[in-house]
Amino acid sequence: MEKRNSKKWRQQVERKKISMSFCDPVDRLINWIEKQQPPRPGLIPKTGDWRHPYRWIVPEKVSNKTPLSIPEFIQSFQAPFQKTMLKLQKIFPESNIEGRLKLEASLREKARKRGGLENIKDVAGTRIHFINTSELWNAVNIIRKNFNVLDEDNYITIPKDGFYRAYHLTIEEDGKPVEIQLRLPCMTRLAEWAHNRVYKHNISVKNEDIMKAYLGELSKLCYGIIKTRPFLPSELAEEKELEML
Amino acid sequence: MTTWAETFKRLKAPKGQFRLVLLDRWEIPGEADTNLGVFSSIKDAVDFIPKEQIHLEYLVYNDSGQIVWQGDNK
Repeated sequence: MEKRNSKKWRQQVERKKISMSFCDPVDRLINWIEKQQPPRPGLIPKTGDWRHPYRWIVPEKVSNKTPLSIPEFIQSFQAPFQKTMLKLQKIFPESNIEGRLKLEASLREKARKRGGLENIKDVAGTRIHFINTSELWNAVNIIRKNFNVLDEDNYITIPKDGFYRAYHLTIEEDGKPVEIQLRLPCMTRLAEWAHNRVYKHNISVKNEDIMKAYLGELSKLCYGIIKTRPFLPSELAEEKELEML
Repeated sequence: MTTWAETFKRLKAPKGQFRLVLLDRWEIPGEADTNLGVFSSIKDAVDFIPKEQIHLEYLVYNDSGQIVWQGDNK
């Protein structure tokens, strides 16, 4: 046994203190993370957190099955996207049709979450608004007849996140998937409102549940599933803009 | 699935810095944000916005999660 206060004993105690301060691997990781630098442009976070130890992969290696770089990959959707837009404008001349190609940064983020580019169906997206649900259901049948439909998501019957109602079809154009979203204008207004709440205001968990429940009721009203407007919950009484939707 | 409250928390920039976020309103709320980076000033964040890309919405958050700049690349 070492004598207390001997040099060797003091060294042992010091070593123990140091090892105790790093005994938790999470603490050690946080310590390491705090010393790291912000990302270099052009590289993408592998884990979603630029501070993660194994945080970088080069964009070209997002997927081995995709030999193209991400900008080239997006560019390869340009012609099928434009062709689909033109076809839709011919088929639905009276309807409001919008479209967009996904941006590089946004696609990288989604590829990271999904583990590759293969499962992303909305690189090219189009959206058509209809005045009522019967027009929307007719449009579903028309699209089935005029396009090669690869996939369908019926969020009208089973709303996504409790309130998001729309009909999504993925069609094939020149070998590329193009998403077509069919919606009512009121649904777009609800989604816009939800985006503003999520990204521009701080939301408490309690309010979030109430808001989603109320948005769920409003989306039922929007699609004619209920006929009477639900009451605004007292917790959200200050949300006058919701009443205006 | 991330909750909206969690989404807002992760948009906060580290202390004394600013986070640039791209908002793609074609995605559902809570999944529409792309983190474009953390910058030491609002100007650096705004300068990072690519000029050649199509109209989209960009937001810059400070370290308390408040929006200090918003706009598009036009």
